[in-house]
This record gives sequence, C-alpha cells and structure tokens, in this order.
Amino acid sequence: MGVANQAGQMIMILVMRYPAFRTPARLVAVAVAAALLTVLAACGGDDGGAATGRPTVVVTTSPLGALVRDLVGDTADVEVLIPNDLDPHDFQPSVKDAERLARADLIVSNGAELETGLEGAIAQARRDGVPTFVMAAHVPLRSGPESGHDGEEGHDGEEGHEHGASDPHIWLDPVLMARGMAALAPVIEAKLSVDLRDRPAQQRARLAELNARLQKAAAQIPAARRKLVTGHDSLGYFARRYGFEVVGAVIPSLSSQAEPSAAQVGGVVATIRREKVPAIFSETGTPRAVAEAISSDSGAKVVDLTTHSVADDGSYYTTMENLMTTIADNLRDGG
Amino acid sequence: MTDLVVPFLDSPFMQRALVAGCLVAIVAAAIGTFVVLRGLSFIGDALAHGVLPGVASAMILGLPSLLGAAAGAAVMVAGVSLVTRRSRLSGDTAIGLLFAGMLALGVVVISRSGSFSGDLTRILFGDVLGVSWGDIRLQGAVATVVVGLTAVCVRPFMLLSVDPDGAEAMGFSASRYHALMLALIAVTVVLSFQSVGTMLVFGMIVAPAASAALVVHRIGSMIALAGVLGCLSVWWGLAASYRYDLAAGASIVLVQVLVFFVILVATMLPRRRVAPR
Repeated sequence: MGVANQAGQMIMILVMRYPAFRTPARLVAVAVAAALLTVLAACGGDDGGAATGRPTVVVTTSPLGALVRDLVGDTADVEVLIPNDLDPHDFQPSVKDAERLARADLIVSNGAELETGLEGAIAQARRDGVPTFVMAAHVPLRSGPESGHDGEEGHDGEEGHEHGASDPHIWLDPVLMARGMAALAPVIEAKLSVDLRDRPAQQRARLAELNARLQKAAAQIPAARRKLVTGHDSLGYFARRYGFEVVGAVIPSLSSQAEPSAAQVGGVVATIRREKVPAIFSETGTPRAVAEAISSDSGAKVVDLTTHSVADDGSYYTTMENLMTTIADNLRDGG
Repeated sequence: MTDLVVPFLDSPFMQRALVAGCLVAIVAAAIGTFVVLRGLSFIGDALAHGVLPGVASAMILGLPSLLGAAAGAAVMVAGVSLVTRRSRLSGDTAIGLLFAGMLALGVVVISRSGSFSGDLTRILFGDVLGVSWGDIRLQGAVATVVVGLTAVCVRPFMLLSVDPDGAEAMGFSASRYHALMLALIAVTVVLSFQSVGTMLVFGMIVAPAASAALVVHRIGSMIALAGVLGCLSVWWGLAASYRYDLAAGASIVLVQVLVFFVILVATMLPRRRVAPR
C-alpha cells in the first residue's frame, strides 16, 4: 500500500521536524485522527448496483432514464446518474458517479452542453472503452434564442441560425425523442448483446400516442393565449411542436446557471404586461426571488413546472402529460 | 443621462433593488470603515464565505436563509477564536482553515441536495433584482441596529483601530470590542448576502470604505463619504445593468471597485503636477 507508506513517512517527517509532534500524546492524537479519516473514507464503499448479472446502462438525466427504462424493460439495468430533483445544468459528479460511469456497459447522455459538469467524467469513461451514446447527436437541434434578447419582437422565423449554442432540451419533444430512441435501440442491442424484440416498435407507438394526446390538449388553449414565460429557455422544442410562443424567460439563457441583468428582468416584465401572459413557469434552478419579483411587478402568477425531472411514478409519459396539463390549466383560465 | 433615471421610474423591481442596495451600502460604510482601518479584510472575507454552508443547510431544511447565514457566521467566528486561543498558530492560519473548510462544506452540502430553489450561483452572487419589500423592511430594521450600535461604539472602535493598548488603558476592553466588531461584520454580511451574494458582499464592505480612506481622514467623514460612494455605486451599477444588459450584483461591485481606482488615480495626479515646481 503506497498510500499508507507515504502517510507513514509524512507523519515521521512531521514528528522529526516539529517538536510539538514529539510528545507521545500528540502523536497518538495524530494517529487516531488519521485512522478515523481512513475509516470514514472507506465507509459506504459497497453500493448495491449490479449483481443481477444483467448489463448496466447508465443514463445521465431522469427523463432520458425513464425512456431508456421503458425501452429495455427487464433486459438491462438502468441507472440514472443525476438525481431526479437536481438541476442537470448544475450537476457535479462525485467520485462514486465517475466509478458508475466507468463500470457501465453503455452510457447514454443528453449532450448539447446540458450536463456540463459531467463531460469530463464521461470523456474519461469513453477513453477507458465504455461505449457512449449522445442523444443530441441523433436529433436535429434548434439554436438558442438571440443573445441580447430584450423582448422586442423578433421571435419566430428561426432565421438567425448563426448564433452558436444549441438548445439541449430535446426530451421535451416526444417526436424528437421517438427519433432519438429509434437510433438508440440498435446501439443497445449491439453493445449489450440483448434482444429488445418488439420493444422499440411498442415504444414508438406509445410516443406517437403521447404526441397525439398532447396535440389535442394544446389545441384546447386559444391560440392567442399560447404564450410561455419560463424559468430559463427550456421549452423551445416543446413550443415549436405544440404551437406555443416563448415570449420571455426569468433567465433568458439555455442554461439555468446564467445571471439575470436588470435589462432582462425589465424586458420580461414589459413583455408579460404587453402580451397579458397570466403565468411564469418556474423550473428547477430558477431564482425564486427574481421570479417572484417579476410576478409582483407584472401581475402574472408563479407556477412550478417540472421540466428537467420526471413525475413521481417515474414515467416519461406521465411527466409530459403533467407538463401540458399544468401549462394548459394556467394559460386557459388566466389572462 | 436619462439612462440613469428612467429605468427606475416605471420598474418597481429596480426601485426595490436600489433601496435594498443602498441599505446595504450604508451599513457596509459604517462597518467597512473599521474593517479597512483595522485590516480585518481577511476575517471579513472569510465570514462572507463561511455563511455558505449555513445558507445551504437552511434552504434544504426550509428555514429562513438569514438564520442559516447567522449560524454559519457564528461557527466561523467561534472556530477562528478556538484555533487562535488553543494553538500557537496565527490568526491568519486559523481564518484560512475555517474559510476553506466552510466553503468546501457549503459546496458539499449543495452538491448533494435536492432543493428546488437553493443553488450555488444564487448564494454566491445573490438576487438583488429579486428583493421584496418584506426583505427590505427586515434589512432596514437590522441596518438601523447595526448603524446605531456603531454610532454608540464609535469611540472605542476608533481607539481600537489606532491604538489598541491606549484603548485598554482608557478602560475599554479591547477583546470585547474586537468581538463586537466581528459580530457586526457578521451581521452586515448576513444582511447583505441576499442582495449581492456571499462572493460579492465583501466588495460592498471594503471598496467604498477604502475609496473614502483615500480622500478623507476623520472617521466620521470616512463613514459618510463611504456611504455616499456606496449608494452612488449601487445606483450606477443597477443603471449599467439595465443599460448594458449585465449581471446586476456584479455590476454594482464592479462600479464600486472602479470608483476606488478612479479616486486612487485622481489622488496621484496633483502630486505629479506639484513635484516639478
């Protein structure tokens, strides 16, 4: 044990150099402290995982995890890395997370700079030979909102594709997800050596049904009221699919981690008043206080919306239906 | 010119940010002057970061973040005085230990919490644009207490800054007033972190006071000038954030530090002109 030897040498050097450490009592104290720390560090070493003999797919986010679970059924174990209630934009992996990634038989990530904190650990696992699948590489991405967004017209049209960053919130569009999962299924079969049988086709049908239900629910909202103000710019794909217009955000950025400026907050307040938007949809990572301030200045109410995690039953389908229901309920009766 | 006034006229959130920022600036001026004079910047900075785990824990437990911040500051002060008293290590080392430890504890707590609204960026940089009138009332009350206490203790604080032995000789307990001063710094940090965050709050405390110290030398005028400079910086910083689309809390602190360097350069100029004569 090289580490133990090094620690021993360090202690010896300390003892020889510094008289304070020569007193036996202090030496004992140092030894006890070192022993305690070693025990602490070694605690919790064995985690449940695996042991089923099935291959393991590690998925970064819970919405993707729910879809992958739905796809593989009992043919593989699916582990979700980022806890369901945490903000994926903000997640930093622990050593244990890195270990789970390194031991995975396949890593499925969202990509497009959603899990920035995980990129290093995933790249490391890839170098160690773990196959990876990046969802964003298999669906057409939309580019983010114009920077310097001030709520003054210029929405729609999508002509400004020159702006760099891509929108990572692809899981909020079931049609895109059908495409991505269709690309994932053969990768799972090849890398895990499992037979998914008709599961991919069944999932495609479920996603198509979900899309149809969501289309129907969106159609219940008068077109003039289909205007969204969100925590950050997370609903771009969703809005495009179901005919909404994202008119503003508490943090007009693709990540929840940006800092709002006075100009942005002023712009959102003005937009909400002008467009008579009844609700501000606050998400994981949205600065609550700023959302409340915009609410009190604009008259729109703050409504919590689950966009980056899944519903309590762990189902992607329930999550998307809840999302649409929350939006529809608050846009229909307000205004 | 209109850019300095118009944004505040029809935006209530800008008015609230201005009032909250100025309250912080006034308290920071009173405390900051003594921090600058006594060279307490490091402990002050450490306090500002030491509140992090307290705030994070409070958010997770659903308690008011002010309470958590106060607890964090108390642990910080207690830890530093324990280390300095019970070991032969210098105060600097004690502060460094506690500072790093508390900061790391804060990051660890946040990284494993599932709080909906509590997250690192907000705690570090604050939400000056999200201040409510309720927050302002509380801040106002605390500010009054801090400024009042400082006014009462201005003489011992002053003696402590220039001549600690003299203070002792005149019957003021140096250690007692030192502790009181630390407590007031802690309260100021706790009061201000909501608006400008734990990272930037110390800029609010040190920058205007340091600027004032360049120009005037009497403690009363230093506090007054620091207060005026602090409030002006809050105003200009918010206006700049509105005009140029910049992060609000950082803009305020940036303006304060800029003001310091402008004054520093300005105080250097006359000397150059005088020298050749």
